[in-house]
Amino acid sequence: MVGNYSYRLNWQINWLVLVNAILFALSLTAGADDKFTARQLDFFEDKIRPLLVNHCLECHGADKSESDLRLDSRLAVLKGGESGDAAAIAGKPEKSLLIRSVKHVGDYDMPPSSRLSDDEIADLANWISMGLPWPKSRASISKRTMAELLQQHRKDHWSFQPVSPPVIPQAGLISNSPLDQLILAKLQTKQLTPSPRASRRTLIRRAYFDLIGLPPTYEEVQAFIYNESPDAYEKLIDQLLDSPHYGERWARHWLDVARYSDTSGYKLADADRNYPYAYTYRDYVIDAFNQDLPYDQFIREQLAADHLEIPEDKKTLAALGFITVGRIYLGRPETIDDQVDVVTRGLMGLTVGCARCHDHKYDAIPTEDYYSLYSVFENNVVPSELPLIGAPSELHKFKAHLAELGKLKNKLKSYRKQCYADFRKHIETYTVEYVTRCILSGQEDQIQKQPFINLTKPQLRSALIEKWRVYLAKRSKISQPILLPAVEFLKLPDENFASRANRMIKTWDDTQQPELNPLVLQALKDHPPKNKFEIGKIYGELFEGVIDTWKSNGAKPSPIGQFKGPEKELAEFVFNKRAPFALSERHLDNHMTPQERRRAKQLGRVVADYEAKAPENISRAMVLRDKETLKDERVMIRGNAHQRGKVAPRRFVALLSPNKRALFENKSGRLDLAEKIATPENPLTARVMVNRVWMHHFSTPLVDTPSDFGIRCDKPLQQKVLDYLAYDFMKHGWSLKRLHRQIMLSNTYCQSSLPRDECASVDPENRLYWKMNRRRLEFEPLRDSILAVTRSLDKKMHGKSINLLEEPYSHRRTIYGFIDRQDLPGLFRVFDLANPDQSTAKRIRTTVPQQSLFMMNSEMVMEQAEQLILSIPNFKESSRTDRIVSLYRAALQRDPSELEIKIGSLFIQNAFAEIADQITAEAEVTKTETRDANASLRLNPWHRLAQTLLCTNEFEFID
Amino acid sequence: MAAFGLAGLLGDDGMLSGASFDLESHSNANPLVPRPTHFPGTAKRVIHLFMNGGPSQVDTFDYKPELQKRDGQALPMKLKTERKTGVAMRSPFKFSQYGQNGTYVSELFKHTARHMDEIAVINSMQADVPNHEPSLLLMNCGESRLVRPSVGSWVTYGMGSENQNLPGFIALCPDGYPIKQTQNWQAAFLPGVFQGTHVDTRHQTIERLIENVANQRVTKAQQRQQLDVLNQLNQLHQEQRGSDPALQARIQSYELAYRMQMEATDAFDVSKEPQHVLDAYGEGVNARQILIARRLVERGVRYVQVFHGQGQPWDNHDDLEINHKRLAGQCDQAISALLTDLKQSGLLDETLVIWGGEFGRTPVVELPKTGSNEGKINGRDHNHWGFTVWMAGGGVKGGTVYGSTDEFGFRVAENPVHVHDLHATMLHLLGFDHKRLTYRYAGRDFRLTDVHGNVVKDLIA
Repeated sequence: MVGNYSYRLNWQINWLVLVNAILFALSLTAGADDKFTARQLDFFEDKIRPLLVNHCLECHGADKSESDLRLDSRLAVLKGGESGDAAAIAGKPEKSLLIRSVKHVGDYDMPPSSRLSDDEIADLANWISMGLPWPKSRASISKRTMAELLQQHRKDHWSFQPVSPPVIPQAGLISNSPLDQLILAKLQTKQLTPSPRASRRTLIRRAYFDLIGLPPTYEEVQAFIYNESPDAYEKLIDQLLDSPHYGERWARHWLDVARYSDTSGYKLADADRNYPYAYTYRDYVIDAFNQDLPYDQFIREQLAADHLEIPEDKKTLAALGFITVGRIYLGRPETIDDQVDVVTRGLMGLTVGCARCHDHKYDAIPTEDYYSLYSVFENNVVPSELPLIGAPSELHKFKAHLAELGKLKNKLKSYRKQCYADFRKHIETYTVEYVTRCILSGQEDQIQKQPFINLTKPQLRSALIEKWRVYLAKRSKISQPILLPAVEFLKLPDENFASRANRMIKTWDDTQQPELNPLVLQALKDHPPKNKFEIGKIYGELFEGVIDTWKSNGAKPSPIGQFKGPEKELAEFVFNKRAPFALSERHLDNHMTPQERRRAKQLGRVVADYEAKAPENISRAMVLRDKETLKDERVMIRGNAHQRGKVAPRRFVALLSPNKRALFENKSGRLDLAEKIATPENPLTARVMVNRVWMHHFSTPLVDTPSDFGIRCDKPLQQKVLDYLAYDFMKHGWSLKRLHRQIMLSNTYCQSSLPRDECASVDPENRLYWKMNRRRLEFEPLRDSILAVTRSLDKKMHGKSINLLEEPYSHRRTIYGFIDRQDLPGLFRVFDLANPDQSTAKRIRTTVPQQSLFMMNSEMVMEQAEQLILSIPNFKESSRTDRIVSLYRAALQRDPSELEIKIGSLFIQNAFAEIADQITAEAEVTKTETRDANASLRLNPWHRLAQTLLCTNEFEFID
Repeated sequence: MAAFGLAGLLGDDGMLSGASFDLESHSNANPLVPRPTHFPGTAKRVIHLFMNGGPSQVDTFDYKPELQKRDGQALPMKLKTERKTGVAMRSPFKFSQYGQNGTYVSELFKHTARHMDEIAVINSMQADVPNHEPSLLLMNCGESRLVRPSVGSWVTYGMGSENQNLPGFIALCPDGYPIKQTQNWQAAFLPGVFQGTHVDTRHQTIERLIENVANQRVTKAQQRQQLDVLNQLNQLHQEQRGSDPALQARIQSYELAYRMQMEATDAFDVSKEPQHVLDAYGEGVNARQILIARRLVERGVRYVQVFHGQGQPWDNHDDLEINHKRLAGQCDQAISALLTDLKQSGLLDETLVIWGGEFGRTPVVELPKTGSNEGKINGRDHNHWGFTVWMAGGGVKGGTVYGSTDEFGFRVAENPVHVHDLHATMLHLLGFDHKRLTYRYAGRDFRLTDVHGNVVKDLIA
């Protein structure tokens, strides 16, 4: 609508200009090169051509010309699009639609998804001023080929360049930290200065929440404030890094990336969707952080622990959960897609998933590369029995449990074996019935009446009928020597069937045309069918005859080879791998009788239930295994599994393989892939991780899209900081704890978070880090803090996941909570927990009233408000003021101000004013812990004050 | 304020669509504040009456005299559906003509049919496959296999909601979840605030309807005192820290929450309706939840989806006559009352009402299958080849019948409307160009209609 309006407006104003432009253009069509200097043409080649190709031709080129506009030739530029105006007027950049559009001042904002850099806009304007130099030899330009794109991206894009240490500016040296020097240098370019150091109380809270996700106690804060040792802060950081709670805090960040969940998602027909051992992966991650496992090794283990030398307890195998805790989709390609995504986006910030249906629109990732990685994961299976992990001495203790489990499993297994044996017998015995039933569908009642039918209708298995039907239909063309008579007979009318059939048999016999299998012909001659039903009988008996012969010869494997002559042809039909006879135990589920199915399900449930009750320390790793026979997948054209393109060999993406790409050699190639990722040669891996660690410390990342470092991710303002840290990270053994120290010991990190107008006006978003950013606690540290300040936090580590939302409420840390991706509790969504279906490096942050409702009304919080009062010693005996002081110390780790005491006191006074017998009531405040009587269900005024303190901004924000 | 509103919504690689429209200029800490759309839409809110399981088109709104004639005969065509089917099965229901154009509607929806002049029937709907799971996701999220945001999430993401005291997107479903559970109203990569809030309408007390919305242990007056102290303390806290929109936003959100408790209680309390209104909607949980839907849109909730029931009630592979009659009986009168009420209050002009399932059913009979409809031969199989959805209000051209199926009601014959086209049209009515309502995630811009979708202009008044 807006477009139409402006169309008219522009037309009126600019038609004269347009006419001029056309005349000008016409005058230039001949010998354009002559008009331009070599330098101008170079300028076009260097600056303008790449710009048009990269930013414009996708929509305004030969393939697609949005708004009728093309920008792939000089003429096209001068002609313009549906607005009627030329895209550019030679010599007049300020009047050119192109410039107005890229500056976002006209009717069009182009390119639609991003803005060109100022330099690029200047280049374009410059080019137009020169009169649009364009070489004659390349009258039109086109999108780049993938090879050209690859080369260009590898050469130009910042994140694909090797990580090299930046030069550290020494001017105005204020800190020993190169990080500080780099930050300062940028600040100085804008005449800004860093903020002063934050107070001791702020620093200790900041460090506690950052590293362990829990608040310090009042005593710890006091001790730190009055610690005069020069290395008090450094000691504090070390002490927190050594705390086992560090792993619990940082594992949660990683589990977001790993899209952790305790369930596999939607399953058909109420099948069990639990991942009972997902927790072993979560515990592995916690331990990996606590042990400061080198990050490159962390990657290797998560992709290929089963290919590495690992300790005897095999606990490292749990690392493979990184691949296997994702959603199991109903279609395998989607499940594999999710695995490709978590590895590429999760570890390298590379959006390879975009290349599933077509070449990546932005990055040089051809579809074939996607399927190369797809092939890696497709060549793995999850074993039906997950391996036990733990020291052999531990496992010894569970002998009885495992023996019983084995027994139950065997029971199920042997029942299935029995079912399968019955099924085999069923196939062999009732060939006549099934063949008859298939060739004469819709006449069940008649079939039933035939004397040679030995199976009543309900005894037929529908899946087997279907199998026979499909097989006969497919074979009717291929196996003509056998099936042709049947097909021909079925075409006959019922009337005089016998004589007509007889005539046909005679003709076939006389003419030997078409060539029929002699055994078939013989059978027909011996027993010409009297009606259509008997066709089934004749064929069924022929097939059964072959089976009987095979059985009487000992039922040895590879049956077809045991036959000769015309019998071999029949055997090939009967024993074909697509024939019903070849159905293996793998297919049993489809072919069970309802009773069998019920029984098998029942036995299966007994196993699952027993396993669910396994002692805590019986753990299994969610591994996957390379398939026995490996196969490279073919490209799925437009993502369609039924339309395949060329083979995509298992190897790394071309974009990150500057040299010749070797094929992956270790089985499925997971280890090879891990090695390609976990290496300093990979320009992305370290940068991506450093950026995320920085983000969790500063609340803003250095690179805004922490899981997309591709071509659409601009060079970050603080690339030097990123590269300095990434280089240092790799140089020092990929140690995350060192990285934390590097960051947290810097002055930059220790700055106050108070606003400063003079800086805010220059850099409102604090991209230059002239202060610390204030942060709100995520759900996990919020809930954990509430439990911590009431002294009810259960510090037990590891183990099975628990339901956090069920009463009586668990007091374990939130990371141990059960996450059902198919029914994610509303509370988790409301608090912006990461969606377990997608690898998430950076959570969304919203402020919505449902979060406040949880704090105001949930039993979980109210219970803790009561607990807070109970946790204070001698509460009942204390004065009102002392009680308030104690509450502040517990909840906020500080003493209240005079004013705050007054506010609290007044609240209590007013609240008790409602109660007649004030003095007794106030003295009795702690009594409500007995909640039997209805009246005492109510929170008393002290509880309500305690709850209010838990709701304060001070509680939930870190300065 | 501006920076926070935007920054808060930036997820992983998430990015609100930049050029076309963004939240930056209309920012507020609460992502549900109303936002202008691409162009002024005729619909401002949506009620989606979801007949989950798949209602039969040939027994409701797609009248096929030829099918009646050929009852019991094999049809000249064979289309693959989920299960095996047999001969033609006529509709056991009587059809009559309604509205100025004399549109045929079966007795199942005789009350709804009184509003035919307001309704645009689409008889040429198409989905991709004849299975519930993928079709539910296609209808609700525009993609049948992968995890993608639902229509309601897209709409609230795009335009916020008019009432900050209620969730912007509410999914009503009695007794539990439909098939595919919460995925039907998932926000996927969009911020969690845009996810549908599920309300189990079997319950009648507010604290069981919405999580944490009521408090048995603190009275409203006491809570007010708490919030007053909280405000004072937060003010002191803020004074020492200078202005910070994030701090301010959280202070406000407590006030919003306080008001939400009252508003939500009121919205769900149908006992406040006069008796004649209750009578007009009729008995039962479906009547009640359709009435709740009306109360919610009256209060400015942007998107209300009403699932008929837990599981897949309309999936009548057998005993279709009895079951369809029972199911329609549970909602027909209430749907009619809803349309009457919306018309009377003038809200229908800007409220888009949609009726339909994830697909339709075959005009041919489904053959019995062991373990499911054993021994029965009186139901219909799933049919994605052609089915019916109708829309009313919100700028829809009433009294229209768009598209058609073949003479038996099996496959679309004219003017096919794929689910993507329906979505594009819905978004258009709401004021969006479906190609420009995008969200950047994992390196690319996603949209509800993916690379598909055409607005069906003939459905728009």
